[in-house]
Amino acid sequence: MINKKAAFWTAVLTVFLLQGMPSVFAQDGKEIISVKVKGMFCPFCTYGVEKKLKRLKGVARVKVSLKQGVAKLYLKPGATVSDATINQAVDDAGFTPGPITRSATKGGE
Amino acid sequence: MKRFRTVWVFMGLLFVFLLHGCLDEAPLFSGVDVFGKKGTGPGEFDEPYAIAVDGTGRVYVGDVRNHRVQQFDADGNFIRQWGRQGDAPGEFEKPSGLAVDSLGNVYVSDYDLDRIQKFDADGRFLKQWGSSGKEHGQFDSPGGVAVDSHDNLYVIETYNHRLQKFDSEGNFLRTWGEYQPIHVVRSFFAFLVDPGAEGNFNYPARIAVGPQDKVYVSDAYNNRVQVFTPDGKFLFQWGGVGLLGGQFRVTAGIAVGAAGRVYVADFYNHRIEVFSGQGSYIAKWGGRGGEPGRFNAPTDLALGSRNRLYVVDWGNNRVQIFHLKNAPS
Repeated sequence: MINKKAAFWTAVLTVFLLQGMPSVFAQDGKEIISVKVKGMFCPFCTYGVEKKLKRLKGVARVKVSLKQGVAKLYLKPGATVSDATINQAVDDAGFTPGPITRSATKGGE
Repeated sequence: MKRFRTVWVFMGLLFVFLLHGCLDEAPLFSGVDVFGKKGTGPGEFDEPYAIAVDGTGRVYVGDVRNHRVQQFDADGNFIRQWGRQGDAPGEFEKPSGLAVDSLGNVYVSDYDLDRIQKFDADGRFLKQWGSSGKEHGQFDSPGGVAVDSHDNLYVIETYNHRLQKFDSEGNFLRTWGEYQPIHVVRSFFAFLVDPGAEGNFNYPARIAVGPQDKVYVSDAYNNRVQVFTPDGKFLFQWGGVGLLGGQFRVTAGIAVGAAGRVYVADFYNHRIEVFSGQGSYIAKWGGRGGEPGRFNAPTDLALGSRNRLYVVDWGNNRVQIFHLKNAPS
């Protein structure tokens, strides 16, 4: 017979830990930012997007997926880049920026 | 009734016109050879992007993701390579444009580092110039380079939408062009109405020099070729967006034969188109695929010795050699 009270507190603790994980990574690890790039279909396009994003302060490297139309920014430890800065860089590359999502990893990818 | 007949005749003519434009003509070449495959070893490529041929027939390929230039003989046999990733002299981030002067010196533009490097034929570093910016002598993504009969160097800049001309030592001589896109509808009907925007560009990709040192610019996102005098005076243009012969979906590499015949890599249509020196359409071939004679995004081309046309097949990580039936005229 499972103790209902214990199960409840275990669930609460699990949720708490899961919520806390990204912020722990963000402090100790590297942030990864994905930005959708609309209208990116060719190598000229990927090269341009790569170039403009790679130059942003705090960006360690950039990986662009032509297939998915997404650029991934791998930031330096502790660095962050604002959405506005990313949007401007994509715009400078000649494209329209889409949604931006952020995640974190301890060792980088 | 008569009106209906006229409409049907018009529709029929339009259908024949469109069908004609979509068919491949009799090939201008007698055979195709292929060299290269994806990899990092000698003779292998990871996104080959640029190509040039020197006066002795040796072939140079800008191998972007391997951050190097590779040199081959006219048959595609590997000779040597130079460069690695970095921004020191002799290193590359994205070797995006190649040209060879009359002395065999090799000019390499770097799309990311915004500079030109000059090497001798053995790959020894000679000099470099350029930095990021909009001033004279600065660049924003120098995508293509070409040399004229006086060994002046022309550099086309994708993000500055302009052309710059230098002497062989890198001294600035002149510049022309600014950003001016052509509306897609106007571009499609370029065979009927003048698309305008003469002398300006929309993400230009490549450049070539032809007879009388005429300068041919592949104006990529305006889907056209523009021709200038060596001093930058606009002469004429052709193209427009579309699938028909004489139209383009993003013009890429461009090469001009000794008598002015022009070869253009039609990037999104995955084909090569051939024109007279005045821009009259002659032929096309290709289509998307991995077989010899087909392409996956051709980015550059160059004419070589013994009637050969070399095409960089970017998405297939290879170079194709087309043996032209007649000397490039």
